[in-house]
Amino acid sequence: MQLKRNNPIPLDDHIIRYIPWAKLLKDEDDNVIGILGTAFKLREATETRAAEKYLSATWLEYFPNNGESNEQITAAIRAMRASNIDVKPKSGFSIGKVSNIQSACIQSNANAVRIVYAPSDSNKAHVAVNKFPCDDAGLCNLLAEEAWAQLILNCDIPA
Amino acid sequence: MTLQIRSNTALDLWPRDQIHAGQYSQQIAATRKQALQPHISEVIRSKYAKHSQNKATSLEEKLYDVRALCKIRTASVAMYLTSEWRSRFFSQLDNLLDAENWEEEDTPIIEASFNTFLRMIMLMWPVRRPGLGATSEGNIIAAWTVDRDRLTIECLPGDKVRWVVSWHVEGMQERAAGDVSLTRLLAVLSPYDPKRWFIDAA
Repeated sequence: MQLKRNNPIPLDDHIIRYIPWAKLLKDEDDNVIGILGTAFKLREATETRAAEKYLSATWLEYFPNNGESNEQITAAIRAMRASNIDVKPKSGFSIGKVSNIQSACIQSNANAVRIVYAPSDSNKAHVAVNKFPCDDAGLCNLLAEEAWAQLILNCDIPA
Repeated sequence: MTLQIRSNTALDLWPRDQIHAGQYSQQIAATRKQALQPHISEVIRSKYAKHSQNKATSLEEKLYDVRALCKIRTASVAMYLTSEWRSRFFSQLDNLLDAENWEEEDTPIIEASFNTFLRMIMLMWPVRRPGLGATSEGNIIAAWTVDRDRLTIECLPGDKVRWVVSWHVEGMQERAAGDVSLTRLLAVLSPYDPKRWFIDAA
């Protein structure tokens, strides 16, 4: 399916987001068991960087699916590794269906959220989650636990 | 003089044979009071400074310094932690603040947040260690999970905490969240039976 820049990602499609090690939910023995809500919080401004204006993700269905269920996931993660994201060894990736993410936002009164195609030089499948509330811990946790919670560990995807 | 405990809940959460009392109670109470001071003592700072002769510039150096600071602060309350608890917690800190897996854009854990974390641990006395995480702004996160139920606490500077509970009751999921001062944390968590997170079921 061809999309133009700023076109919304189809509701039945999926997006995948990079989750750093520090934002993975772990048990007391450092076994990864999920995702922390902070993984979906927009970064605040620092001395060297402006505040994030959108959440970054990658469009899963941008990549061909020739029958193998994990083919698109593997391709998307490899694309993210090749992008300007410095993917760390113990990091992870979270997958969510666009309609579920939108529903979670509406449930949290974040009705203005828009999930759009936003290709970049380093990632042709890049997606921007625009107008995401900058400090809604409830929404972030809802995404982490349900709507954007399918977790893939980086170490499980070969180079 | 008997040992002053802030609440009986603390006693309920910790095995009695591991609670220090008796003839050393005054010394322990005084040490505990010192440990709860908001600012690190000059003695601790001088020990920390020996590990950081030059201003930390690389990420690896910054993380090393933060790990050292966290461990030194924890050591100041070590008498209240079992050696195994402390040892495994130090391993968790090493894993969390590992340069190979830390995002360069993220602020390493800030001292004020870790101070809140330590005071939270001493108020709640969890037998189970939390899983550790961190926000991009440098606040440490403590998380406990039992089955599908989850308690997440972000430790903010100044003895403030941001808590989130996800709780299943009679097949229905409930969620609650709030920002409170540390002294109110056990009260706001009481409807969610915090012991089930803090005590090892085994």
